[in-house]
Amino acid sequence: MTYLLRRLGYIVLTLWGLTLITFILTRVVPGDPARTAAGPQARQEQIEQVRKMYGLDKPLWIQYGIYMRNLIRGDFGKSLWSKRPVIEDLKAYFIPTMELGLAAGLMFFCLGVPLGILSAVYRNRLLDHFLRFFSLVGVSFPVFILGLVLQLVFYKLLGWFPANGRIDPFIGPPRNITGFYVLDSLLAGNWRSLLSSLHHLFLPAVTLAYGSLAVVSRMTRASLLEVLSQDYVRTARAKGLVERAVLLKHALRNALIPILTITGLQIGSLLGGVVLVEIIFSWPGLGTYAYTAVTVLDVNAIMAITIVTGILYAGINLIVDLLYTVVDPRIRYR
Amino acid sequence: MREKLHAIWKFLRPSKNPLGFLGVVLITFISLLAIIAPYIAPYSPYKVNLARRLHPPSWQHLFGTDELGRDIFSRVLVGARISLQSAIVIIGLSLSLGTIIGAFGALAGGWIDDVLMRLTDAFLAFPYLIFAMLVSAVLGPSLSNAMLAISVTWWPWYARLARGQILSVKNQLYVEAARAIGVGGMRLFFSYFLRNALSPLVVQATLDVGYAILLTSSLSFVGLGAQPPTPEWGRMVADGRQYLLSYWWVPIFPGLAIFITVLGFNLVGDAIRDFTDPRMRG
Repeated sequence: MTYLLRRLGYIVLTLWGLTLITFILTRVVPGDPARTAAGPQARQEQIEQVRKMYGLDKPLWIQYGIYMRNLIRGDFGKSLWSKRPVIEDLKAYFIPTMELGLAAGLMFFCLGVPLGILSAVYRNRLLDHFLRFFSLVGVSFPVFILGLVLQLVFYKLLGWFPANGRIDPFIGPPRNITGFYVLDSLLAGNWRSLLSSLHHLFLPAVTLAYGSLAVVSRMTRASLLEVLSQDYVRTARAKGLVERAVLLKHALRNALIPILTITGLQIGSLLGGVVLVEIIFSWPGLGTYAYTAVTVLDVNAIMAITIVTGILYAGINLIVDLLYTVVDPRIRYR
Repeated sequence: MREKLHAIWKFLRPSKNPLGFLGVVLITFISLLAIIAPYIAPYSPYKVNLARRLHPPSWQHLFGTDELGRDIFSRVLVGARISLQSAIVIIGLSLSLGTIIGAFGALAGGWIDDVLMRLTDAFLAFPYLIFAMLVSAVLGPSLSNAMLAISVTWWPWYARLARGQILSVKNQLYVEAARAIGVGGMRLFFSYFLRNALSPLVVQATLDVGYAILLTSSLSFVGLGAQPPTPEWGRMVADGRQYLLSYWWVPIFPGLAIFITVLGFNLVGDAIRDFTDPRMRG
């Protein structure tokens, strides 16, 4: 419990550092933040108005105070592009991104670990070499190019999957309960929209997952190989246990810690990759929002996205650290 | 050093480590192309020829032509130069910044070290692509700003590594001996601390070239890096994306160029990691 509190305190501290960095970046680096906030076509008096409105005429430390006060209230300012408060935009775009991210996360973890196990069991055989090459290709394939290639093959050539959007516009989204189309369709028992949303989810999720799948399967292989050479594995085998029990009960459990660590890190890189994937598949989430914000240089929105992903990332890492104690009861946090 | 190189070479022999060797071949090939690109490119990468818009790959235009009739093959060749150059600048900048900050923390110790390391943690606390997007959006979209933005988000990795290295060197006997005979100041820092801490840093930096290329092209892809008409690979993919379904060669060839280059660096990196970390040896 004290550990949890300390960790939370630490996260707050890190996020505070993050706000400081973003504040310095957005207020001090550009020549005139009022001009930036007012937009490129603003006239002089409009700029002055913005300067007053955001308190940009006051000293820097007071500005930082105002900025922090607004942040704590969840007020990230107004989006230059949508003309709405950024927080409203974030709420609207958050769920689709979560849906995509969760799908990709499930995919890379549930496939990556078994593939890594296969690779370790058949080490240095043909299957292992193939899987290693497959995973190196995965690490090197930029997500935005993988997305384009998949669209070309599975949409244009084969016509198996749609290339854009979350659901067939003729079917339309299911009744809004959670905002997750797949979940809502299930809850409403609407099979047509369930199929359509899964169908639309598949390509972007694969694109997003491939790189992480590669990393996780490599880590599983390496970690498992190390454990398999330990004495207790030999003992287990000598006892005459079936190979499957040795592998899954004795070896895998002890190999899980590094796998968990890398999974946490990979979820972090998913948060970055999701921007590129959403652009390519016109997925209406935070990534597309970030892209639009970047193209019109909407600093408030970009800053908000950075802070939100920072919070998400910190939360995920905390969960991973807590999972360590579940996987390995010897680990106790004080 | 020579022995080390020899050992690495032995390790990378094609018979022993075919993938690592393939990586070396790829990197050498691409670096050579980058150097001689302007001399062997069949066309000017900037020359617009509207009469030859969107021609498919042929003997005349190996990779076809883009929406302005420019030769994609020539643009990809010249793009190799841009990508490698920017990767080297990024790695150089973040490596020097990271080493300075990490080494300073390790040598100063106490609260200075604490503050510097917390700062590093804050930088590492969020996904670097998003952070790099923020920084380069604030600085304004251009290739040099994107390079700066990536370096700003990247140095903490090297700072941590450098700090660890210097800490392990700090209390070695030979440093104490050097101090005892009166070596101090800059000389102590450069010839004793840095020299002995540098090799893992340099290895790590080399391995990171692939990621630097990936990140630069990602930023260019979202419009924050190189601006048209620069033949930067990520930018070419971004501009060619709308032609994907009818004229696939426009975005796909520059995309493959990124893939092959990054793959080359990762293959070598992987082999070297196996070499330095015997646990990973298959």
